[in-house]
Amino acid sequence: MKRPLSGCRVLDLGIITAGAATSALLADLGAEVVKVESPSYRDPFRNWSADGPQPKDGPPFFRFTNRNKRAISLDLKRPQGRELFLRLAAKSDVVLENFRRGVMARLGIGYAALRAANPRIILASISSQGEAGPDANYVSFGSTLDAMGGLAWLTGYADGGPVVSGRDINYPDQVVAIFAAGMVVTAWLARAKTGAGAHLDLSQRELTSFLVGEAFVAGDLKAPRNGNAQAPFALQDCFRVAGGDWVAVTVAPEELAALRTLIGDSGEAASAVGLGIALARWLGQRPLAAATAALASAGIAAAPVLDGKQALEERGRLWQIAIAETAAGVAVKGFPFQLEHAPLAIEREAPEIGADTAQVLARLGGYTRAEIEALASAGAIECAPRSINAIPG
Amino acid sequence: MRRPLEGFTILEASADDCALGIRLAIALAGRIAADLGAEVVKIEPPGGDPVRRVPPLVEGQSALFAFLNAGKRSVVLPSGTSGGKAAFGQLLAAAHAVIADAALVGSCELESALGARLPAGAPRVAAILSLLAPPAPPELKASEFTVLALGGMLDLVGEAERTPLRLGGHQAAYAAGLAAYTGLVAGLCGTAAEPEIVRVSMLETVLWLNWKSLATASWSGAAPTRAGRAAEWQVLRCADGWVALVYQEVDWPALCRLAGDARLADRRFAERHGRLRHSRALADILEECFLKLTRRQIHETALAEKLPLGPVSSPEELARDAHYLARDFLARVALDAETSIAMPRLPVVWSGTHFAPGPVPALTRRPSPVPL
Repeated sequence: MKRPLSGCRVLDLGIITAGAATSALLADLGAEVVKVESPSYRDPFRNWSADGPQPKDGPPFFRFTNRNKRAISLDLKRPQGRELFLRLAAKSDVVLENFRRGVMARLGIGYAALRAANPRIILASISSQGEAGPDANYVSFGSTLDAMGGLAWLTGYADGGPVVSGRDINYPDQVVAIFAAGMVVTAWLARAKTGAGAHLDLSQRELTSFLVGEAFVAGDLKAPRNGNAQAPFALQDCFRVAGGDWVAVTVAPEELAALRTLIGDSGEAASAVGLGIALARWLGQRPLAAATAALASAGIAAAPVLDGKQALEERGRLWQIAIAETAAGVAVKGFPFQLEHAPLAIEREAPEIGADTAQVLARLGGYTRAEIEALASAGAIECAPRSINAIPG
Repeated sequence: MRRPLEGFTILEASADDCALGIRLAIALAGRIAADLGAEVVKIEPPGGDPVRRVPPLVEGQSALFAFLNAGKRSVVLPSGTSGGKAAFGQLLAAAHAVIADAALVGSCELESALGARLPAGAPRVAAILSLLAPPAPPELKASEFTVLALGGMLDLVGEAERTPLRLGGHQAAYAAGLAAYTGLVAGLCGTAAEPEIVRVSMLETVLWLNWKSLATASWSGAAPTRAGRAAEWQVLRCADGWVALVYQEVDWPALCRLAGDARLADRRFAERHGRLRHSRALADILEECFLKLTRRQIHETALAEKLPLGPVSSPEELARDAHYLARDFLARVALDAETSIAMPRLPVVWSGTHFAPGPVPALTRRPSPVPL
């Protein structure tokens, strides 16, 4: 099927989430994404070190983030590996990386070298702090950026300190993939008109700040953290129902009368706090299903607070595309949006290390089987055992 | 430098009863396009977009509206009148893409405009947004907040024994806006004869962001939940504020050097599983150490030692941050003839150039019968 990025080839140096999830989305949009690893360095998501039961389908985070990609392995620290990479870059459209700043230049594959190899190349550099500036070498995970970007300052209980999204979400590492993919697609679209490549300097910290941009406009907020309350809503919070489950409720000002009728509140509790206490009492006496049904019938938005397992169980009932399955029925990351005429789909499972090295070197680099075997025995590249036999001798 | 989307016209439209979260998502997608050089036309009802009235207000104007709509052109159309419909149809025919809420489709010309009867090439893409989408039952009422609840994101933030917490700002709406932008620009790359339709369900986007929790549940049968003070990564107090404790196995020795406390040498903390088991005790000790250090001191050590610790800054402090100043991250934008405000530019530097946002569009008092 022809997709928006059909004909676009991406050399993907992206690792963990921020980089690898961006290129995954580009692959979903039709790009040919070639994940580049090294005999001495793997995407850390391949190493599954968690305690407890071991997943049977391989490291889940790697499997989720690298489906729809091909994989090659070459040692960029060797001159042969570097030359090989630049030869592939000459035949590619996009290079994507989220290394620490300075690594690309040290490897001899910075923007200048890439542009010399391919004047139309689009280099997407996803980094913590951006290419330049006094903090350019600051390293981070998503929760670091919650803190440094201003999001944590705005997250928390009214009586407490700032809160980060934490290790299980690392929100800035997730959300950057949608934005960075959008910028690469924009550069691809612009290149079709102008012929010019680009170097995209994408700072995850800046994106985190951009996503609370209104707080920069507002300036000094007297109460920066207010739990779940939020203008312009009259009331918004989570409440416990009978049995202890949480339900999330949003009440618009024009829905107050309906809520008061429903819970038998006389209207004496004029303040949101008073109404919240009355609603908490009312909900605390009702089981979850009855409580949400009653609120729904009064036209008020309410939903149970689900954990990841419960949310997964709603697939097919409340949602469909965010998680997908491979042909073998194994769960992988799905899509944050869908296109009606060129639907995003899962066409390949996440590749094993070096799965496509021989094939990609032969097809794109013009290397012969003998040359590939020599590079492999010199340790400059790594080929999955089966792959080299597919190349004609 | 020529901006990458120069020459593209993009329309923003929403139904009168559009959910606030979807208004914000549409506006964010449009703001990105505007910064990148597209001509973005925002259609507002005669009273103006309701977001114009959402506090906090700065110089009498909504900070939220100002941030989301800088650089756009505003056109007021009377909703539900034949004149309004005709004008909308005209605007649509001249646009390359439209960003709209699902409630609008079917209620006006949008649906027929998305058929094949348009002048060739216009509009080529429609991004259609909603809080929920099929298979969710259409009668299920939702808000941005309840979408976070269903997406499993609320459950993961906050103290274990207190209410689940939303992240600050409008993260679900803005993430849906990012998805709409990316889908829209992908649609513009396509060459198909019929317009591409981009479907964005905020719940799907939130679940996609929360994939790690779902992945864990899919293979282990259990999902993580919020742990508050027992979390491995959490915010601790320091001498002049707060710092996010973020580190990996490999960072432990450098973290111990920074803290400089003999108690961290305790056997309990030698391995990660021990640190997890005794996470509250560890947090208490580290907080005691951090209370002797300022954010600046922690920042400098983290930078030198490559530690991913996160000193907490407020947006107000960040507006004066040396790194942000060096990168011209805050741009001055005209609010009206006399006033200007500072706001983040688009977080991309494009071959060394960054794109400053344009002025905030004023509300035209009178509907414009012929908007072109």
